[in-house]
Amino acid sequence: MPILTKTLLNDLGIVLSESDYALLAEHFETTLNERVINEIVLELTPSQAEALSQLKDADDTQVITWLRANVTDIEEIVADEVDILIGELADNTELVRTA
Amino acid sequence: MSEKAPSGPKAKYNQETGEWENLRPAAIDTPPTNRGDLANGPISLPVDTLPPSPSDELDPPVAIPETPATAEETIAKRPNAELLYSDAELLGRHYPVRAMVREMGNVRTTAIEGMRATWKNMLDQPGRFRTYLSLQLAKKRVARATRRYNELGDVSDDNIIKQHRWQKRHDATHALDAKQMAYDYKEWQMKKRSKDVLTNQQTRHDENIKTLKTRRDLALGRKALRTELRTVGLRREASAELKRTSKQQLAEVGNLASIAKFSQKRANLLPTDAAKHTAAQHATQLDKALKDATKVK
Repeated sequence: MPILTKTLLNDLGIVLSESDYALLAEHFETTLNERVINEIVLELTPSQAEALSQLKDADDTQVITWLRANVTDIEEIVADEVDILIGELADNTELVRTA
Repeated sequence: MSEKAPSGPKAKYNQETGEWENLRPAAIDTPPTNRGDLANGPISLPVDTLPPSPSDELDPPVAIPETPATAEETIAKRPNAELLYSDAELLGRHYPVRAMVREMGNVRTTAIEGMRATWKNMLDQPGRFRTYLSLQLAKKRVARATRRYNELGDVSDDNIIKQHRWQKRHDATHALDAKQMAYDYKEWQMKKRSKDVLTNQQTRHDENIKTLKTRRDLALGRKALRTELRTVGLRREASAELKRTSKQQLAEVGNLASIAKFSQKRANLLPTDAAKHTAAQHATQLDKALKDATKVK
């Protein structure tokens, strides 16, 4: 399920064409990923960072399990970043609408 | 993606309280929190995967993950798991994060309300037409009564026929007023129905924006507190500290963080150095206030 849905945008008063929506959704996901990664990196100790880098060839399940086990409140971090980003979008509704 | 959380309908939004329900994955045991419905506490990790004690802080041993998908299995066993979780792709992978975004469906609700209003107005059309005809008849009756009364313009007011016609005209005028009121009310009622649809839409829109901004402020507050605790080396206690912090305090911290961020952005956009300097000073002051607000005792 995409986080930035068309329904959410419509409810914010933002009506976009399919292509514009795709662009905005992509930008949203990229920004979110960057922010989440930044937060996670800040949470890690050097040894944890090293351990994580060794997991680059691991499958998704292993990486997620490792993150959950080693990053304090990872789900809270992700949820907070989503809240912040959607809040920013709500705050700049007019800008997006007139862009 | 190899790991997928149970997908399905989103979290339920309580229209009466205006709050989210079941946002937190209920399958995961979480300690009590003061974050209310917006809360989504940490997953209870297996004992051997808990963060190390402060004594090991410099170089904590890297936890070895236990058997994976424990949380997912627990989630899957919940009777209404599909209602509580959504499957969101983050960091290129699927996380069973809480259903963050409500399918608010303001547009859909507006469409339904609009159709309902149109249908009710359609049902009211015969009544309106009947009232309109009756009004026209009353107008004609008044015109006729007035004409007949005016025919006796030269006659004395004491004349019994003139008094009788005056009374007839008077009654007809009263009846006309009543019909006019009934017609106006019917018109107002029908117009209000259509107008209410737009008003309700705007109200819901404003409420949605307000909710999202409040959630952002709370999230910023938690983030600022986490950052501050990390700075002073108390990240391990951050989780507990966050839960001790009241919602209001978090919102205040979040608001300050938001203003500080905005001021810094504005400072970078200003054209002159003096303006930049003033705005940067303002941002620094806010930053200091933010640090004070998040100061760990």
